[in-house]
Amino acid sequence: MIFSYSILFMAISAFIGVFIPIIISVFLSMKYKASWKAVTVGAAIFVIFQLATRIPLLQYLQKTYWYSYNLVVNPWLIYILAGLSAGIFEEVGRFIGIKYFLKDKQQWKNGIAYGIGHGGIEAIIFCGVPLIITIVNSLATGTLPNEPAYLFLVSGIERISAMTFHVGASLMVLYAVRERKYRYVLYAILAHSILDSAIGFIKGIFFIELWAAVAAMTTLIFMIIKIKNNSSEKIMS
Amino acid sequence: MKGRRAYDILILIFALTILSGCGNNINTGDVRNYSDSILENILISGNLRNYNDYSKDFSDNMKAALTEDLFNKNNALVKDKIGEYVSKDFIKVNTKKEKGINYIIVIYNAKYSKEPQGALVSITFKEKDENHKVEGLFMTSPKLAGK
Repeated sequence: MIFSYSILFMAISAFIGVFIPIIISVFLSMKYKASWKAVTVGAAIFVIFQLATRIPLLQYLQKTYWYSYNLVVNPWLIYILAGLSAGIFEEVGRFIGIKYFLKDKQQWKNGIAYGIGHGGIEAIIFCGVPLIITIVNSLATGTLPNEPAYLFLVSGIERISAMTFHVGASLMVLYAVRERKYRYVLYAILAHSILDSAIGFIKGIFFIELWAAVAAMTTLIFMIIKIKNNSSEKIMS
Repeated sequence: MKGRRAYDILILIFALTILSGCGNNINTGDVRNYSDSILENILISGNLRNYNDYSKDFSDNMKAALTEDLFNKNNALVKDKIGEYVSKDFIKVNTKKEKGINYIIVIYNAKYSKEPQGALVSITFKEKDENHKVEGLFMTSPKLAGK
């Protein structure tokens, strides 16, 4: 029974990780004429600033005594470093992507499309593809990873929170660019850093996922209210 | 304004979560009276590849988690990457609460023959356990992290 639940939950999360971003992108494009270029730039910026830059730098840092020492003695410092680096790399990347590569696509709907591209490629790489490989391996060998079944479902739910946050953060940075209020880039860095750093401090998977969901929804709702109050253009026009 | 207020509340919850983990009344000397010798035995037993001595102070959970096969595998990796254990220096005592149980985490810098700056080792005990059974053991170093 556990075996079937594990496969079922992996399949649900793999679907969320791979197909939800694609379905939302197609929906945004067909119904609201959102730009595929925004989706693509969002995905490309994630790959360049996260996979090709931040992660190799963190891997290099992990091989230093400073990192080993603080991981054990002052783990809070590592949590903050991990969160802050994610905030700086991803939000500065988002700013560059929106300001310089989407000059003619800075409608709000394209901010949402950018966020789906950014969060979607992250979901595909870190959740969808690994789970598909695990499902195939499990079915081929008849064995499962030694983890409770519900954790496989959690990984998919977490991707929904992450994509929600990326949409909110993309609107925040787009707001900074459109309104020339560049302090909103700093707010995006701060929000991203707090969201990620806090995960290290919070104990228990339920509270971690609750935090991620609440922080992501708060960011998105904050930006929707901000845009409605300050922009004559409708978000999905 | 509503969004900003929600953010203020989130940051407050976050800060309280962090602060709730601060402060402890552990006597470092009392803890070192048992942790120094228990960890010394563990690290020396690693040098000697002796699982029976290595695990003699482990709790049942630790013995189940760190079996002899796993010990042999991990120990071979440690010897390959950072060499033989030489000596250790005490760094600090931390505490943590997990699932309603208070734990004591004692941290050392352990000198190894092939790791010039040493490896960071943490050993965990239950606060109320008078038998001082080992509940957790963790080691990292630049060379181990680069494996």
